[in-house]
Order: sequence, then structure tokens, then C-alpha cells
Amino acid sequence: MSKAYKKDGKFYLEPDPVITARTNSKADRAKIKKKLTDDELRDVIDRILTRLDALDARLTDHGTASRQQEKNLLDYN
Amino acid sequence: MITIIRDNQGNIKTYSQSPLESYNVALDETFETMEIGLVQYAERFKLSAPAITGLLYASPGESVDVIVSTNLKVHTVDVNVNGVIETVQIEDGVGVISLALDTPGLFILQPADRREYCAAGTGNLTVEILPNE
Repeated sequence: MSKAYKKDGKFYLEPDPVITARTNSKADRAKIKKKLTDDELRDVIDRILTRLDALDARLTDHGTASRQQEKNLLDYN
Repeated sequence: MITIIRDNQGNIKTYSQSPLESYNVALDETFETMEIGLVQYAERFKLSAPAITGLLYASPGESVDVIVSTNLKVHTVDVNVNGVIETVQIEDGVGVISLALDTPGLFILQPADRREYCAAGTGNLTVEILPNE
């Protein structure tokens, strides 16, 4: 979940790096067809790793939730 | 009359007009009943963006006002906005939280005091700000 903060009476969201990386994915695909500088390449890889980390975390969370559900069922039975 | 189910921390999980006799109480949940109508109970805490309850999809833009309403005689209600607790002033049963829609992501709003107010149904509101493609 994105972090929220209040400023001048309104709530704002802090930019989520995963959403930012996802939003840039089409541009990144187009970009890698051209020759990139080291910095550009580093940025593209950073965005890919950010999205991979988020995917990994989701898979791990699901594993944890499944194990907890299994434990609850065993406890209940 | 309604039936209220609380979790083992005393937080309201859900409520129903049914007596829920066959409900499978697990994990130390508890039942209680209240002599009140379902609609009246649901209006103890309600969140809505203009005419929308539950889920609002929004494009990046200016801002949206979320209406916090309650039929209880209170001057303030604490609302949880993505983990930040906001004390909302209530006048004539209504208060407002303003959300800026400039950053893609999710705002998740729900009552901060889950023992007093239920987050089910219209008690929670998700505002998803979709990125521009």
C-alpha cells in the first residue's frame, strides 16, 4: 500500500516505485531497442528489479497466507 | 434486531439481519445482538466519494472529497487513511476528507476504531488512481 501524507488540508500519496516502474515499462521496451548509455541501462535494470522484488514479495505473502490457512484448518479440526 | 460478529480483538468483523445461528465461529470470534435495524446500523459509519461507495477508479487529476457520515451524535470520527489516522470534524452527521489524485496508487480508507465502527460494506472506501498510459 502506498504511503499517504497530509499537506495543506489534503491527503497525498507518495509515489510507489513499483507503479512508477510499471508505468515506464512500455517506454523501457522501446528504449532497449536503441543503444543505451550506462546510466540509462542502469535505470532500466533498476526498474526491472523493482518489479521483480514486488512479484517475489507477493508470491512469498501468498505462501505465508496459505500456510496460515492450513494451520487454522488443522487447529480447528 | 441484528447480529454482530467480533474478532478476538473485539473488532467488528461483520453484521447481519440474520441470527447467524449456523455461523462457524472460529479463532475466538464472538456474537452479540443489538435491537436496531440493519440500515440504521450501517449508517453508523459510511464513506463515499461523490455518489460512489466501495471502490472508485479515478484518473490523475485535481482531487476528490470523501464524505464521512455517521448517524451517531459525535463531533469527530477517526478515519484511517493508508495507516494515517485523521480526526474528521463532523457537522450534522457529515465530515469531509480531501484526497489529491496526482499520484497513481491506492487510497484505502476505513474506520480507525474498529470496535466502534464496522469496516464492512460502505464502511470502507478504496480510491484507485490509475496511471495515464
